[in-house]
This record gives sequence, C-alpha cells and structure tokens, in this order.
Amino acid sequence: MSAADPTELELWQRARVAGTARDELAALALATARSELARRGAPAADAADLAQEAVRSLLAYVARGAEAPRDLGAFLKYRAWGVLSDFRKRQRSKAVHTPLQSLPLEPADRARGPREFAERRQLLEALADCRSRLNAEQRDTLELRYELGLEGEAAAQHLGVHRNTVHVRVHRALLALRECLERKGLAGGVDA
Amino acid sequence: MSAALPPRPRRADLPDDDLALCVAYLDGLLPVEQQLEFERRLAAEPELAARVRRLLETDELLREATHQAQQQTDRVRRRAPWVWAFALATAAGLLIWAAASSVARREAPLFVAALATSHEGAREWVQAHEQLAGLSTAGLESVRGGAAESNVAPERFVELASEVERAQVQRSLAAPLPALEAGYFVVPLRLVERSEVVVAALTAPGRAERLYEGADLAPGEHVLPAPRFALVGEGPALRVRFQRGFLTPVGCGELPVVVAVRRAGSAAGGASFEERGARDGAELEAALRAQGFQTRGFTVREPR
Repeated sequence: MSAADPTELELWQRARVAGTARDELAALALATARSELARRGAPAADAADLAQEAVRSLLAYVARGAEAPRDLGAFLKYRAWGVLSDFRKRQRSKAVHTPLQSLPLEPADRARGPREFAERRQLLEALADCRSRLNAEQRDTLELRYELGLEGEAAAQHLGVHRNTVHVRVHRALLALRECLERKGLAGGVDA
Repeated sequence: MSAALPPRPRRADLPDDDLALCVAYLDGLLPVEQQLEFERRLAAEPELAARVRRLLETDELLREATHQAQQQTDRVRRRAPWVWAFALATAAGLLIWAAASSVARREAPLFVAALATSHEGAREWVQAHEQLAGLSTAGLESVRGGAAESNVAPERFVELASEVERAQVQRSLAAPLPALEAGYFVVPLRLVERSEVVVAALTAPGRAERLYEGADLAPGEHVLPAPRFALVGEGPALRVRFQRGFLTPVGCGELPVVVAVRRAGSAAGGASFEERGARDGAELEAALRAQGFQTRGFTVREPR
C-alpha cells in the first residue's frame, strides 16, 4: 500500500501532541465534517454536535498513535459518514416508541421544485419495480429491515441465521437494486 | 407479474466478511476503533469506498420510500369515503372520454428518437467534448475526498454542459442510427405534442424491462433519462452531479431497445408489454403498439 502524502503525514504525526498541528488538523476535520454532514442531509439542529464528535474521535485516534491514512481528505470525509451512521442508528432505536412520521429521516438532495419532485417520484416508482424483482430471500430481508425496522442481530434472530449472513444479504440486495436502477438510467448520478 | 432480476454478471466480488462489514458500517454497528480502521481502508481503497457510497445512497432511498409509503397510508386512512366515490366516478368519466378521443384522432408521427453514447464518469464525458476542456467545478472530484481547483461555478458549468448536450441531441436526431456500441447510453427525443413516453429493453428473451416512463412530457426536445449534469445541494454544498444514462448490462451482448410514444392521457387497457413475453425487439415493439404506442426500435451493443 502506498504511503500517505508527505505533507499530510507530517501534519498527522505532529498532531499526536497538543499544539498548532493538532489545531490545524482539528480545523480541517471540522470543515470537512460540516460540509459532508450537510451533503448527507444531517439534521441542521444536530449538525454542529456531530461535526464536533467527528473531530473529537479523530483527535483521540491520532493521539493513540494510529498510522496516518493514505488520503487524509477522504479519511476525514468517511469519519463524518461514520459519525452520521452512529447518529442515525441512535435515532432509529429511539423511533421504536415514536410515530413513524416523526422519524428524522432527511434524505440528501431533497426535491426542491415540481420537476425535481416528479423525478423523485419516478425514482421511487422504479425502486418499487426493482424491489419486486429481487429473489424472495432478499425481499424478505429488506422487508424486515425497512418496513419492520429489524437490523443486525434482531433480523438475524428473526431469520434464524448469523448476523453476518443478514448483512451479506442486505449488501447484495442493495447492490442488485442499485444495478437495476442504473439499468433504468436512475440513481446513476455520481460525483465523479 | 414482473420477472426476477437477471443474475449479476460474474466478476470478482469482495469477500463475504467485507460485504458484511460495509453494511455494519452503514448501520453504525461497528465499535469506534473498528469503524476508524474501516474508514482508513475506505480512504485507501477507492473501489471499496465507491461500493459503500452506492450502498449508502440506495439505503437512504429505501428509507425515504418507506417513509413516504407510511405517510401516504396515514393520509388515506384520514380521507372520508365520499371523496373516494367522487374520485372513482371522475376517473371513470375521464377514461371513457380519453378512449373516445383517441379513436377519433389520426395517426400522424408523434416523435423522432435516436441513441447517443454516454460515459461511466463525468471526466470521460467532459474529455469527449472539447468545449468543456479544462473546466473543473464542485462535485467533479469528491469520491476520494480530494478536489481539483474549481475554476467555474457549478451553475455555469451545468449551463455550458447543457449547451454541449443540446448540440449532441440535435446531431443525433438529424440522422438517427439504428445501433450503437456503448456501456452507457441516452435517448435524444423530439416530441410533437404532449406525450407519454416509455423506453423499454429486452434484457433476455421473454424478459422485457421498462427502463423509463414519463406520463406527460412536453412538446420539444428531451434527453432521456435525464440531462448529463444536474445541480444538487444548496449554498456552500452546491455542486454538479453527473448522470450516466442507461446502463448496457454486462454480458448482454446486444440489447434491443424500444422507444414508445403515445399521446398523453390515451392509456389503453390490456396486458402490459412486460407480461407478453416478447422474445425479440420486433415482438417488443408489437406488444407496445398493441397498447396504442408508436414505436422505434434500436440495438445497443455491449462494448468489447
């Protein structure tokens, strides 16, 4: 595996102890987290706390002597994703006791006008068609996950399989749906 | 009923442990240390990162769909029964009117369609069009977190790319080719009046798939499924997104594609074309014509 960029590597190593390098890394992590969290549709009310959480966990990781990542910019972006995944998991577990319509699900890139609304509707209709074409095992796994809110261990117990098996099925089902949407020219949008 | 999805093309996939790890990461199930190690891998393995992004976007879409379905169910429960009776009567009246009108109309050509090549990535598409050479903007480099220096605003970039694409559409429509070799493709289309448009493909004999459906497209020129570039996000997160077009499935060899157009609101009854089990492009066209569509057939060849 190739080494990290020398400038980034130096910044990472110097940031292991308190000082200007640590502040610089923290500022870079904060800016990346803010931008990434906004892009991924994190609720505005929680975005500042989540960005701080991304910075805190990063600095703790660096202080523990972790090796520098190969691409610091990308690593900081994925740190924000990780924090957001944790947050959404906490929200979903709370939502068991609250009405579904109050779930704080904020999809990225909300439809903003009639045209985008129509495109979004077309995408969701195509998704339903693609979902109906999955095999029965994949359909059942997705139904447990999305309609009944059972993930990980809970879904594994329900299906009588290992948790990893559920994750592999979810992975393959999501990928098959994505490929089906791409065949239809939908969801192929990429930030290239 | 709809056919099952065709088997995925054989190619080296990630090991099962990595497949499971990706989903555990998305679901926030990894302990923080393992999560950080996985993020370090994502920063070093662009293919793994692209996979996680695809999963994440599809997961978000499914959650949105579930949420909307739930809201719709709630609205339906609240609606009074007389509203339903009124809506059904109105719909029946409209259907009778639409059927009578469509019989009385003449069969003039409603459209011109063609195929045009698209690309897997924005950069390839930009490189294929010299008018866009050297331009860089937000959204073109974000997969790996790094970014080329942006030298044009996203709005301006989309404007310029639209002009280039409009010219491409006009060239394609001036002399439509019956076949095209491409990994991704789009359908330039010119409509005479408001129309319902379907793009269908035969992914295997007897397995027709609806690639695109637009119930009410305005007269004029279109590119289906959508223009190559769109603006997404807001404020500082505003960026461009590249839309690849239709995918030519890996391993299909040749893909029969049919563009079908009928006047908006002229829906006909009977079995859908997906249920008729067409074995080739001609049968697929016949199935669509039986539903009142005018059709044009093409072939897309998988690149060798």
